[in-house]
Amino acid sequence: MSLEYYLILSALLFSIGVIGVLIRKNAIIIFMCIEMMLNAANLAFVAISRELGDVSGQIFVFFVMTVAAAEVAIGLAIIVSVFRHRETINVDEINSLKG
Amino acid sequence: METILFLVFGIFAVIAGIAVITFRNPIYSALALIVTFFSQAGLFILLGAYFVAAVQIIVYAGAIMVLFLFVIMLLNLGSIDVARPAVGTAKVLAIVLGLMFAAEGIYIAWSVSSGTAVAREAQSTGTTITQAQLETIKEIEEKYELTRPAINQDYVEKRYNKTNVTMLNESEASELIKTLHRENMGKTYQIGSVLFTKFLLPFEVTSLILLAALIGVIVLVKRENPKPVN
Repeated sequence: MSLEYYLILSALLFSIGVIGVLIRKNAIIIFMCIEMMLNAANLAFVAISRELGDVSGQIFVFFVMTVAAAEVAIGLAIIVSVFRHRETINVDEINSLKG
Repeated sequence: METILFLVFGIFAVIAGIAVITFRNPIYSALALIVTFFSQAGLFILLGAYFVAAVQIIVYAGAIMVLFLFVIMLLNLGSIDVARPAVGTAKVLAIVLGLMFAAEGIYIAWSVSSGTAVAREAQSTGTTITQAQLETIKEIEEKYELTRPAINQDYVEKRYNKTNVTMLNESEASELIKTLHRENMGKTYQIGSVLFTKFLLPFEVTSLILLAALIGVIVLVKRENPKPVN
């Protein structure tokens, strides 16, 4: 399969993630859609790495996965703290920093 | 065969992605996201990135999604918006804009790869010398009357002590090098040989990032007033 099909699939997955972030109200599901967007970018990296014959794309995917893991850990810790304080994770109700 | 596999994994990934944003129950969304990650690992293997595919399954589907599921079960939410509200203008606008974004991304991907993208030659791994250095070497050889043996089949057989040596001309050799490079590029040996030499600094910085995440999580989740034990 040539390069453009992988890039189109990456764009499609990324935009599904974008729609998910815009539509959903649950903070955890918004976070999962952000992970899906990171995955779409990883797919683009690896596809272009194969096209150009450069292994740096796959090395960068390795680093993106590591940073995504760290980000998920901290983000979920923040969500748990917010839930302890506000008893909700509906983003419509967590829209003010007061209190 | 590759086309069929690409279509299978691609359709699985897209349908599971739509399932992530559609299901009401967050556990179902998490399971659909795991299906997406496995399809993505299949696509990585199709692209020849074997190490990255294995890391995807181990880290994303094996660690990150387990963390998500634990947090979903810890918060014990159930389905937040069980009664499906009327589809407001915000949601319709979000879907329309998202589809426009998808169309734009697909158009960009199509025009980039079918028009103007030029594939670079695979990077060679040897060192190169400039023309001036080559001239200097030739001068020194002439001056001191050094000779260099001709690299032909007898020389290679004697030097490396092998039989059945085939000599290739330059274009065949470069094609063979390119093919071997493309095939072996994603294997663990190649990734490791680049990761610990050329990308050593980002690798060490990544360990600092993980340390910061570890400390941050412990500090964030710690309760302020522990209950006194009587």
